[in-house]
Amino acid sequence: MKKEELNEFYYEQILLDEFPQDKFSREDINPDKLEKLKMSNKSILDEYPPEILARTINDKLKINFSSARLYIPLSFAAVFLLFFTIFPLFNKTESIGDLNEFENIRLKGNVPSLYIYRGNGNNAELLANNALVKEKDLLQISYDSAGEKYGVIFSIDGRGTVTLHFPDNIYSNTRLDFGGKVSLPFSYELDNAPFFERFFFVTSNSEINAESIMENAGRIAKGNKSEMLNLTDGSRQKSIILFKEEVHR
Amino acid sequence: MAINIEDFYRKYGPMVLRRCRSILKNEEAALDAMQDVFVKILKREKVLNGNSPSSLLYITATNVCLNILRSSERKRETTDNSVLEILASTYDPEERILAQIFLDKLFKNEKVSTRTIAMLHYVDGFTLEETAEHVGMSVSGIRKRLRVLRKNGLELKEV
Repeated sequence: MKKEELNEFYYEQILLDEFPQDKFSREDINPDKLEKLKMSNKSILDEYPPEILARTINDKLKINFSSARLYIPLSFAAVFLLFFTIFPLFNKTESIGDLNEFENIRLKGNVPSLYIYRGNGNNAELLANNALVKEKDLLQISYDSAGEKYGVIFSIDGRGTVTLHFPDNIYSNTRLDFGGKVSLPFSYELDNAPFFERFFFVTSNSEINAESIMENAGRIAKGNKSEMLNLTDGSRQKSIILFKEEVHR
Repeated sequence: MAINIEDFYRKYGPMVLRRCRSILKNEEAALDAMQDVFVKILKREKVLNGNSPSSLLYITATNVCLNILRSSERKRETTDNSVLEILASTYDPEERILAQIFLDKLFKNEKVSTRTIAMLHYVDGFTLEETAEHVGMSVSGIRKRLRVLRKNGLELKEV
């Protein structure tokens, strides 16, 4: 019987010494392929030297983290902002639906909470549900898991585009950090999608499949965008809606 | 312990760049994508369990590149070399265009992960078990996805 050739990826793993030895025998390996890979490695590292590429990657990382660094130390300021900016809203007459939404921006509590901050010069402004935002506003998303182990954060805009904010992609682990407010390691710039940006925070004590949440989100995005997700497994959800101000050009 | 980016790139950079090149067929785009892969992984350093990040890097590179291809701008830049062409495996210009239109229509309504699964199984030649292991799904889940994809493909062909 003809032996199956090892997949190219496994040659990469063999070269990296990361391929489990019990999965192949020495005679499966084509030495020419390994040699080619070694030469390719050398050529790539010559063309894109590690010291330069590492600096570029590090710069990109800093850009990704810079907003979080700006906002995390300001979270105490945001708490004060919450008192002065948000508390007056309690005096307004709210519908039950609004009050439920308002729960998302509570200061403390035993329920998972979602916080959206807007970068405003050197300050971070905690946005209330129904707040007005506009194109190019830089938003920072934070959450408090309140002890729930897993979560997914995404948003739907007025065009029906669904954006996954946490985890990084649908295959990543949805395990949440715990111990209070946690900022996502990047900020989010609003594009020119009209009308609104609606954020969802889905949490559960059992593992959540981000992919199925995104499929569920897709249904809302294509249909009635004011609906909540259809969750049947005991997961909880919170949503915050921000309305887009029209930018006149 | 914090990862030394230079060492990390020296070890895994070539593999990631080769993967990005093989999907994007555009050196500049591949170089950008490779950096994005490292940024994504390093941002979530804790997901690296320390013992074989190659698989995570490889799948992340695949996802990043397929997402790049999905954006219409990149698609335009790489029309002749897109993943659709690779999936089509045909070099006759007319057939290639038809195959491209066909695959574009087919994948338009499919889940993002189905493209990754199709890429790993049909293009990279991973077995169902290996594909399942890479994307973190069950073999029966992979089988079901590919069965639905084939069914949709046949229906689309009839249309």
